[in-house]
Amino acid sequence: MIVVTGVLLITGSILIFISSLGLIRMPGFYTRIHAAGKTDTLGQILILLGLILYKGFSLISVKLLFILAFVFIANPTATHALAQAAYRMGVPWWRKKYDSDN
Amino acid sequence: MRFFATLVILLGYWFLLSGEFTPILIVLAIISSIIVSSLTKDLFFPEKVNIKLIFKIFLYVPWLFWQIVLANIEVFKILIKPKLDIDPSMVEFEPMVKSDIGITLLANSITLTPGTVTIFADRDHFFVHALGPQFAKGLSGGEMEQKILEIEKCL
Repeated sequence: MIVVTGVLLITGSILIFISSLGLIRMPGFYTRIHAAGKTDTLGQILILLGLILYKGFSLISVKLLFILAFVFIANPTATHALAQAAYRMGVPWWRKKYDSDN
Repeated sequence: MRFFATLVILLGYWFLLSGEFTPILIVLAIISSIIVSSLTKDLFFPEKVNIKLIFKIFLYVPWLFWQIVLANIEVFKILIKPKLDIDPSMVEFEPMVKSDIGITLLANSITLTPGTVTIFADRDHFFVHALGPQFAKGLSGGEMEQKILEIEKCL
């Protein structure tokens, strides 16, 4: 069981690392939001699943399941709020044609 | 009815988080749950609780989960490549779903699957920002929207 937990934790951390890398590499605001807000979800899911497996069935793992559910609701809502705020302020979005802008 | 449903959920949540069952805590839990649920009884539930709808949404979640995993892998492939291969576009379409719960579900599902972010959601317009044409393809009238239409039928 500890091996499975380790594998899940390490994969989750690598995924989160790659998505932070994407935050730096992406051009423009809207593309960065993709990397920052959402690709994290899978990494977080894997890490929480690993911790649940490690604890076995207990009150703590039920709480971790709840965190998982809240991540699922809060993540897209926050991303959507950010994107909508930017859209209303008229933040320009990066297009392939204007490569040189960034 | 709505009052009791809220009360039961709040009480269950309290005991789940505290995990302790001393008399003082139980009394406090009951008192505070009654106060909160009398204030918010019309917030959590619509006029009538629809068991079939809740069941359908529970069936939808595993499918969405799988879509998230698939789409995540797609985005990671893009991020790992030394040269960024993205072609962002803004997609506008009119949603087939018309109810509040359907629009919320669709907007959040689109945002949750990597590669697409809902920027504006409303009964007539959906603005979606997509990382590339392969993500924008199945947005309007795709599998996701069909599933949500199925859920909406139970309303």
